[in-house]
Amino acid sequence: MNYYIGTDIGGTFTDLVMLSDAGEVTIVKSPTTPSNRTKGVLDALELAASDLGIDAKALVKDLAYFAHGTTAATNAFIERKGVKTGLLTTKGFSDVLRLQRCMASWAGLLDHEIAHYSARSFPEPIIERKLIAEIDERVDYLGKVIVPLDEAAARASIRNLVAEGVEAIAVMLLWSFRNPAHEQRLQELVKEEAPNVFVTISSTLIPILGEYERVSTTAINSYLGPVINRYISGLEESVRSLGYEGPVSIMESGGGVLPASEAAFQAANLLTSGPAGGVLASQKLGELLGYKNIITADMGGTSFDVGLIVNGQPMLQTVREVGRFHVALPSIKVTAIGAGGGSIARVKGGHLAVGPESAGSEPGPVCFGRGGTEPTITDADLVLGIIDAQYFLGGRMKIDVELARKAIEEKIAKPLGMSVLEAAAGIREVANNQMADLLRRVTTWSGHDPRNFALCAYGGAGPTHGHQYASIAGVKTVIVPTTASGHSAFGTVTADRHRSFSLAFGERTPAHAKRASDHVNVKALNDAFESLDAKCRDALGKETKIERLVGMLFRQQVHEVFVEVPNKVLDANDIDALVDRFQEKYEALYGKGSALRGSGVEFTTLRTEATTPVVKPNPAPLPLRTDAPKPVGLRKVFFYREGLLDTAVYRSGDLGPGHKIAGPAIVERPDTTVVVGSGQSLEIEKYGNMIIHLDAKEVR
Amino acid sequence: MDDIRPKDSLVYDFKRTAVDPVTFEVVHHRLISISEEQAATLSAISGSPLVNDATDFNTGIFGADGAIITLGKTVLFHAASVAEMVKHIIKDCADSPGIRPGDMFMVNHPYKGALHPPDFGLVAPVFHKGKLIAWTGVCSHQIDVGGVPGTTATEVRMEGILVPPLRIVENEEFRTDMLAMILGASRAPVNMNLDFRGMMAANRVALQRLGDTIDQYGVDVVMSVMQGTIELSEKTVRERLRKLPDGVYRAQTFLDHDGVQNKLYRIHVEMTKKGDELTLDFSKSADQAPRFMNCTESGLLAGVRAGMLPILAFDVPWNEGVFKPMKIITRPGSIVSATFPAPVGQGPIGAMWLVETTVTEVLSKLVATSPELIREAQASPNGGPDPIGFEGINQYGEVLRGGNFDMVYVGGGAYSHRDGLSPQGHRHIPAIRLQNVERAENNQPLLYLFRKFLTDTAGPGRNRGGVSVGHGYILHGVDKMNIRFSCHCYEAPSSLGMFGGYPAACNTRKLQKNANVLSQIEAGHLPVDIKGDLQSYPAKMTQPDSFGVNDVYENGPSAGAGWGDPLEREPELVAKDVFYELVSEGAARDIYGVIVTKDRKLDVKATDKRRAEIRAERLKWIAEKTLSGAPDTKAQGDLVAIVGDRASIQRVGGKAYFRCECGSCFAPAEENWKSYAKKALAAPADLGPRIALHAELEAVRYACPSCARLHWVEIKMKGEAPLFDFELRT
Repeated sequence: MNYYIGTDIGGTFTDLVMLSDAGEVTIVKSPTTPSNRTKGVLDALELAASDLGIDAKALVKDLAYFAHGTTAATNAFIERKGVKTGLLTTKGFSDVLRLQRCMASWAGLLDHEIAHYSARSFPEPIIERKLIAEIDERVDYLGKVIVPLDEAAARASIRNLVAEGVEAIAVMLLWSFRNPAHEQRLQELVKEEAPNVFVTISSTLIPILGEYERVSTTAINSYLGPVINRYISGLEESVRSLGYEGPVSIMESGGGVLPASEAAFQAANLLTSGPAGGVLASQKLGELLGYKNIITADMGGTSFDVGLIVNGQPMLQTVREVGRFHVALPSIKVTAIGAGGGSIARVKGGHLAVGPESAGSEPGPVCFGRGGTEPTITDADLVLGIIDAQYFLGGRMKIDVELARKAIEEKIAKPLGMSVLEAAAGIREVANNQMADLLRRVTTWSGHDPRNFALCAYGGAGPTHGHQYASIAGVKTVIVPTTASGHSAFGTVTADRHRSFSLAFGERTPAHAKRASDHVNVKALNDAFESLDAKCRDALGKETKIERLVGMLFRQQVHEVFVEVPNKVLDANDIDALVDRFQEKYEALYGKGSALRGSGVEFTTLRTEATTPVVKPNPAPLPLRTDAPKPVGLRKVFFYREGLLDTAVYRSGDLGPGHKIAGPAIVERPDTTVVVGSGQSLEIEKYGNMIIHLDAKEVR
Repeated sequence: MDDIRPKDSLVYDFKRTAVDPVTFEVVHHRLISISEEQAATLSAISGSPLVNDATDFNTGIFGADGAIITLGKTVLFHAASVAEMVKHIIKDCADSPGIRPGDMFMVNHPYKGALHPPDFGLVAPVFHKGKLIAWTGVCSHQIDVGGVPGTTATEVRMEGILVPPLRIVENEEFRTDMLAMILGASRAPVNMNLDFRGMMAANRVALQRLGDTIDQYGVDVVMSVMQGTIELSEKTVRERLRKLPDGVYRAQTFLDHDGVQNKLYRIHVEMTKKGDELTLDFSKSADQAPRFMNCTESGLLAGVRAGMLPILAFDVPWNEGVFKPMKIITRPGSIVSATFPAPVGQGPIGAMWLVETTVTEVLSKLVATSPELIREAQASPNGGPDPIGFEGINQYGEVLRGGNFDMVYVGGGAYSHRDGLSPQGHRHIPAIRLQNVERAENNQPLLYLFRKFLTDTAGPGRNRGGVSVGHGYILHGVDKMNIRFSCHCYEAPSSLGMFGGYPAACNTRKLQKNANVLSQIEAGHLPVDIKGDLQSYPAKMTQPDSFGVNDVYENGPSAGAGWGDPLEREPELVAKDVFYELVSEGAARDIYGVIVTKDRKLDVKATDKRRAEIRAERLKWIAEKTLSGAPDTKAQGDLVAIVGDRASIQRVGGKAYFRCECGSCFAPAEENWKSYAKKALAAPADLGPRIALHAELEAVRYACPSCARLHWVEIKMKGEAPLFDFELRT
């Protein structure tokens, strides 16, 4: 029997999902060990082995694949625990990284934080000002050298940085994506002067137009590279020391996994890879169950993260904000608001507000009894009877309903003149509506209608609330995956090997051009795509599947849209067809008649997405159940506007494929509580995932 | 600004109902999300950088009478525009042609609600059962609306097409004939058409979703929530005001050059705070100007609201409620309330800008009397932009018109607890995204020499202002183009410090012709240091000048002003600023009293000595009056109000005094303390190398007669009495 393991380190738990050739899925959780994260992974491995009645060493003998998702990069960046890094940049432009295109004082802040001017501040810098060296050189917009590189001065600058003790260097020169010679030469000089210094040059990592995004991404990559290198090597060594010889893959944020040996060079790509794992897991699940359009909704302790899968493909973004800077590597788009189990409810000006402040995991909700005093969403769920105090995390964690009740009474019910139950239901109602508003925002703002999507609800609190926030947003089907509480880990083991390469192109048509092909150099386009294809094959092998894309925009406009490009030698007709396709796609996204074709079109960026499937088993169908589902009991649960309802309570262990349950009902799982509302129904499909059919009200 | 209300027969008579707190929150969140979706819809369809990056637009939901219910957090000036348009639509159109379901109205007339002709609004009435319940609207800045170059317009009719409230959408469709007429007046009709479509779609989204929300919750509940949110914000702001001391607070500034003459125009506000109400009186502001820097009453309102929102409403939903406690008195025919047909094209970066600045100052003075709110008080955030206009042919042989947003890269004003942000960007744009240099070079025939923080732009202070970013460039890919400048804050510093903080730089331009650019590049370096004979320009140009391949230009924007006496700034911080060339050695020595060593590290001993010298020098200044029988510096006093964080009004032995933190009660509270301070005129150079002073202006510094602490730096007309900033009711 072969096993395939995916692991994911979260803030509180390290999750492990194990697939076997027989299609069995095992999920285990072990506490995250912040001082040495590898230990948490090994602990989880031990737990998974003990599930099979063996030890880790024995399990590793049958281990065919090991994948890993980590918040190491994100944490190191947010806490600014990268290495001392220097920057070499074009003379006159050393402030670009600090200016952040004037976004420095608001990037990454919430709306209400932006409105509070006096409290605004700058992010902690990635690179100290004294470690930014200006290089004499200049290239123009056509890639022509205006001022040659002053090598002697550059060498002296590099020596200075090395003397200051930098462990890494980032290089970003203006227009280097048009002419990388100066950056490449600087890389050589760094290698000569300091062979052990980790170096990233922008023209290799991210050759696109936009010096701020390039310098930010390149600086972050250098800043994190050595940290990731140490972390991944440590992890790999530990797994290898158990005797594992198979491949080790690392989750990235762009839609797949990287070989471990590549991870350090793509450190910036590892940022926010956790949420990406959940989206990829939902994509695979969708393939298995036959859903092509899925809203992914991860509700954990502090945040509610929403992604989209459209026509089987995760929605990507070209730039994302992380730790108040920007990373311009294509990534799976996930939008978050501060709504999770730990989100705090407060009375403000006589009205009830929930979040975005969170009690987090420490002290956590009041019911945890760890000193939390502010009532949270989890406290409300408990008081309402949705969560059973005796069966929280399958009974492994004791929580106190009285503490929760008291807090809600004091802080919410009394000030608002409501009963405790009404107040608790109010907290749920407000939070669920906020989440529904986010679902709507994510779908409609990207040109889609939530009614055409199924929703995949995961994270510890997701299945507890999904039946309602999805319903308010007009969604008709909620999928609660068997891996709901380890969905990101599941994503790491199911994801394909993936790399993305971009290249600025910049050919343009004049205003009112009749045919784009009269103005765009088709040979240059073909050559550029061939070079990108070659990079893909270098990275992922000859057989890798390559998808070509071109980013285009209407001149004088800002929306860049990526259009698929056929995998062949393009001719003039293809160019014109691309422009037509661009217009079509643009109007599908931004509305009929929104295309400003008269202003001309710019072919901004070329991109290739390469994927090579990783061999792994699909889950096996579970035996069909012919008996009727049996509840473990009946309890009074308070629902907003409905009051106390007798609600059947089931345990997931008692249920199997074929079982159908009518709401109101609760299904308790060891990792989460699934709620089915009145008028809704739940069925278990053949792999054990739960499908909730919502009597969805018409969308608002 | 009369209170215009639609006729009762048109308006739906809703029943105010008690809404439970849960429903209230849910519906309120829904209303805000509708406005956000409106904004997203406009941004998507428009695609314009003005909408998407500069956020020069706004969306919102308004009551039947135009009261703001939701307001997007985009350019703050628009807090007035759409709401004012609604009032004019009601006034002009209610009887004829009428207001019906399915109609939308277009306005860009600056005397009918718009801030200046480029701002086009499209506003839709919201009906329920045939009666008006609300309005929803969008306003966005257009690239071109016709008209002549700004400085040459002598009346608003020359500044582009003027659209009064016009029923351009009927039965939910554009009247194509009217649309064609308006688009026909623009030099960028395609872009304009797209923005209009975006605005229409945004309104449709809002109408649809408002209707759905009403279907779900009932019209009475939704309208009660609309009312309730306004009341909630009003209550918070009134409670905040009630805690502050009653009195009269004043601020003023000067706009230099009117496009014809280098004349000064005063913008003056006298704010009376009584109980939970504010009255802002602008009557003492100058008469309107002959050219485009005026603003209309809508513009005045816009400037006032932009000044007010971040100071008094930083934590409450932005809606009509926050403005209710505020009354405005103004004088028609003044620069802040121009009368038709005065030109107003540059109003938003002219008079309106300085209204925001003076209101920011006067409200900062008010909140600086409260330990609880002083954190929200801010020194001036940059005196005004100096936009550059390009005319010619670009490197692709296409027509080049317009400019860039480089002038937005400016520092913010200092606070009592921190330096100004470097950069903050324009204060009334909460979140802006500016262009990369590579994007600019891709689109315009320029080669940038640098984008960097400039030396001595920020106003010095205990906390200094935010530093501004300068840009240098040469022509690239073409032989020539024409350029045009137009600004204020050129010879009249209008980024003013608080409590001893210095003003920030004036706008400076370094344009050198025949700078041998080509031969320098040939020799292997770019002409980064602009030396030699510089061109001299007036603040506002009526004729363009040429810019050629051997010419080089550097813009030097105004920046954030300082807070507190610069002698009290941590010397280490000053040395660090000198090290990074944000402050020159000269300014460090003469303004901050900080001496650095050869390698630009702090020289502690020399600094102590220098600061003692400056203080001794200040004590030699002359005070107009001296208080006899002042209480002892150690006398116990009862606090009436703080005045900034280094002085207060205190009652000692039954009398109220202005008292420095050193203990000296040097002025009676009922008089202007400045008359009792040691004072000295400052030459422009004393205030910093980037300060210029108009012949009719003077800068006066006021210090404590006992400890020499600098309490204020004032820019005023020669021969006038010092401004009585704080006239507190004691």
